[in-house]
Amino acid sequence: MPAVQETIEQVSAIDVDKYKYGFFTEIESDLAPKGLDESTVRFISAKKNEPEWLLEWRLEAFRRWQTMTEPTWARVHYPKIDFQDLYYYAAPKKTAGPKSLDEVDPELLRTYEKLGIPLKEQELLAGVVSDKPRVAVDAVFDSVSVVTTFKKELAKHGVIFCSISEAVREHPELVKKYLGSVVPTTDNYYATLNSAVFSDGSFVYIPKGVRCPMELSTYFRINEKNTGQFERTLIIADEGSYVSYLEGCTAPTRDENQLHAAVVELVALDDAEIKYSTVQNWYPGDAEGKGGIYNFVTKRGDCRGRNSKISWTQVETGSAITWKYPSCILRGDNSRGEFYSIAISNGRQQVDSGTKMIHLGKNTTSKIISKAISAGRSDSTYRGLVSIGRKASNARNFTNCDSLLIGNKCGAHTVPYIESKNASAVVEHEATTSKISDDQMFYCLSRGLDEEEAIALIVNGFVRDVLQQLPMEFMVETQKLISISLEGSVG
Amino acid sequence: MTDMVSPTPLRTPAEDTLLRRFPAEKAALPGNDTVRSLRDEAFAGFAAAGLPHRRVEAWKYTDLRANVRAIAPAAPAADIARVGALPSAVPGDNARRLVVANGRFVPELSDVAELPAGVTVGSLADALASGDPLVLGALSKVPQAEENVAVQLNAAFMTDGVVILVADGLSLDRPIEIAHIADGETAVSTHVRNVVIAGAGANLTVIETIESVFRAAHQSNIVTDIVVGDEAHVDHIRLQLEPDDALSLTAVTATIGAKARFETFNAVLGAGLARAQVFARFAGREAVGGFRGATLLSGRRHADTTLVLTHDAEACESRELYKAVIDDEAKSVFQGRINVPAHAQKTDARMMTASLLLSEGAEANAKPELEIFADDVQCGHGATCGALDDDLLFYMLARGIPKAEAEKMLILAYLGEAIDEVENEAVRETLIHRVEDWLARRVAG
Repeated sequence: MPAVQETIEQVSAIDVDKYKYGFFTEIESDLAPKGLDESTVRFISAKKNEPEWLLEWRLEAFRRWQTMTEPTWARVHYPKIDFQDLYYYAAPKKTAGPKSLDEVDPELLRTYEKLGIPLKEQELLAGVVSDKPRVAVDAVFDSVSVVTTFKKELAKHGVIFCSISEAVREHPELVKKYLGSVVPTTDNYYATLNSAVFSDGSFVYIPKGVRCPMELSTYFRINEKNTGQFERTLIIADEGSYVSYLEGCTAPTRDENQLHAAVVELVALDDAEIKYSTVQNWYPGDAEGKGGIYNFVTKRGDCRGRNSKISWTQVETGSAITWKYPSCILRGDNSRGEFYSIAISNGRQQVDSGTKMIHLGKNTTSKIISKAISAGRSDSTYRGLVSIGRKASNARNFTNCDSLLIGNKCGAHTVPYIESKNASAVVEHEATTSKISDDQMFYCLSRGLDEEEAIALIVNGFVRDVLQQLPMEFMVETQKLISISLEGSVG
Repeated sequence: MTDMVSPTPLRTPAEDTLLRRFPAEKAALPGNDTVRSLRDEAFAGFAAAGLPHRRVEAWKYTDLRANVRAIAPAAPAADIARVGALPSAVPGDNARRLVVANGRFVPELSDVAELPAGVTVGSLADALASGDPLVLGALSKVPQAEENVAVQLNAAFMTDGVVILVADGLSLDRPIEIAHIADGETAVSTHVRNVVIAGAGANLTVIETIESVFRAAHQSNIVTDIVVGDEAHVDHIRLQLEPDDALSLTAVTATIGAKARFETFNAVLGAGLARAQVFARFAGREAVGGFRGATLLSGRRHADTTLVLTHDAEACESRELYKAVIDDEAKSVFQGRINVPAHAQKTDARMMTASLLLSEGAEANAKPELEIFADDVQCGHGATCGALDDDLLFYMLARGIPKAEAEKMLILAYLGEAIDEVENEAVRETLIHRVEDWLARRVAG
């Protein structure tokens, strides 16, 4: 669509520079010395009073990492990362086990308030919003989990929801059994790095037959300068259980690119279901592509049991570079994997994201719905794999990737891989790339909407299939986020 | 994605042979100084990268390094009598047949008498020797063709082929058939290059067939460069009928002018390992292109169709449709890529690929890519993979049609969607017969 002068003015008025979450909190923090060698790994492990086996596990990963080279296959371009110029551990001070919110640095609480996180459980418990579903939050600030809410209530149901360092102390048998069982330490460059230096993250265990009574949530925030955030999330849904988990991320405005290399592992046993939703609005860098977060994340779910289900939903509006492929290994018979994604890129953002559905068991099904919207000078790539193994009889996959281009300086790319080794499997893939049609715009404009509103309306319609998959309370937030991300993009 | 080359630690015997052969043979290969440096440059590309393997993205599913164990010796001159006795693979096409046997154009077997005014048919070797700028200018000047290892090997070793020039505005009523024939009781290797240049407003049909006198494990590398002038119309059809254990590397490059029309259809019916590549570029606005193909696979054969299409001008329209039928333990690969740079506004591109798996051991891989930088476009692709529809089979069985017959009807109907688009009736008939033969063998076997 040709950009009218009015729209161009709007772009310069509201551009990616005006990052809503671009505040920086002055909190004293505890830093590991800059750089990375074995002593950094030992430092992190010692800081967290980790048992010997975990230190060994980390060191093995670190040695492996030194022999690996950075992957270059993704369609993203960035200056080489100097891994020695980063802090691998940054913890806000005074983190010695906050027992209640009162013990948490008020500065920190204010930060979360600005972010609009429902961290204060008292308010929620007070009944003011009793009809709203409650959400338990694990907040991760730079590298350390600072507070986890609703712990007691969850414990009543046998649900374990805590930081991963706590889980290592309290539930070593579970951590030992499942950590690295989905994403092995040798998996890929960033996952291996994460295994060596991961600092914290969330741990969830849902016991047999329990339907987790509330949404679980983690909020990640990178605050400290020059830090890498390497969190590790491990979620185990035991037989017949259900959990819905949401993660949200922000980072303040910074000139330097900050590194985020997380690993998320999900394990669903027989008849279990995990729903994992992400709203990611890390700082995308300014209009010239300066600063912003490098988001190199490995997320994988293992449908280990029969009839298990893992569903990934992601809304990606932030980060300078996104390199992320939440995947499902459909091992158990009749298991199901889903991937719903909205990726919005503006400014100079580069997104290379997608999913892998690995069908191994019989009657496994998967569904992929990906909606990419590119504006400004951004690039968005869908890269996905659907693989049907020899034994995956009657497997079924449906994939739909749609891209919408706003302006002619951006790019949208689709790179799907389809590999079928079983004749009874049915794989369908469809992809389209187009712009907002003149007819749609004209229709909206003639009904009195201005151009911005019309675009927001059409885009929200475009991504509707995915929006519907988000938990209710985040759906509204996401709709707003979409409008903000696209504000001032070319009409 | 460009060919990413990982370090190649050891050379395979096949690579060794090629590295030894080029310096030994290059003096005898046709061409003036320009051609010689072109050959050196192309060979240097191969020498640096080696044979592509699965770590090279563009060859991910077709690992030449692992699958090409040895390189067959360069083909000696063919036995004219034996080659001449071979009937046309496309009976009834009324075509002017040009024979290229063992990599050399054979005028005495070719129908070159009484060519209409404005049509020139010659040998590529002659054009290379004289350094004909028109022909040299047409050699694979299409994005990603020159960097392709198979095309590089062809450029380094090409011995001969045909050059067809059609003057502006000339419409040929008889198709031209280029019959590539390998002659040898044991395996031979050939490198053939054809150049077809259709002037503005010209209209012609080119049919290529690839076959052999004896069923030996021949290795052929055939590249056909086609230049479609403004408002010209070129129909290109290729039937690959190599022996089952042959190695077949083929490529078509096409440069399509403004308001021109180019159609290409490729039927892969032979070879143990086939890689059929198409590199096309829309160079002028409002051109139309059709890219289609059918692949029939059985046994342990492997066939790869790779298409790189660049919409380099505004308002061009392209349609891609590739269908594969895979039986036994065969493996099919489709890689299709549509590039739309920012200036190619109003592009309309639709790519579809389908794979039909007929047996437990069959395998299908598809990678349909879109790379789009222009916003005012309509681009889409679809890919499907599955077995015959049980409901359809059941419907036919319930009406008393035997299972084998029902399957045959369904497979023919499935391939029909692609084959029906072939305009030349004789070719269409031949294709249908070939498919029927294949299906009959399948039932018998």
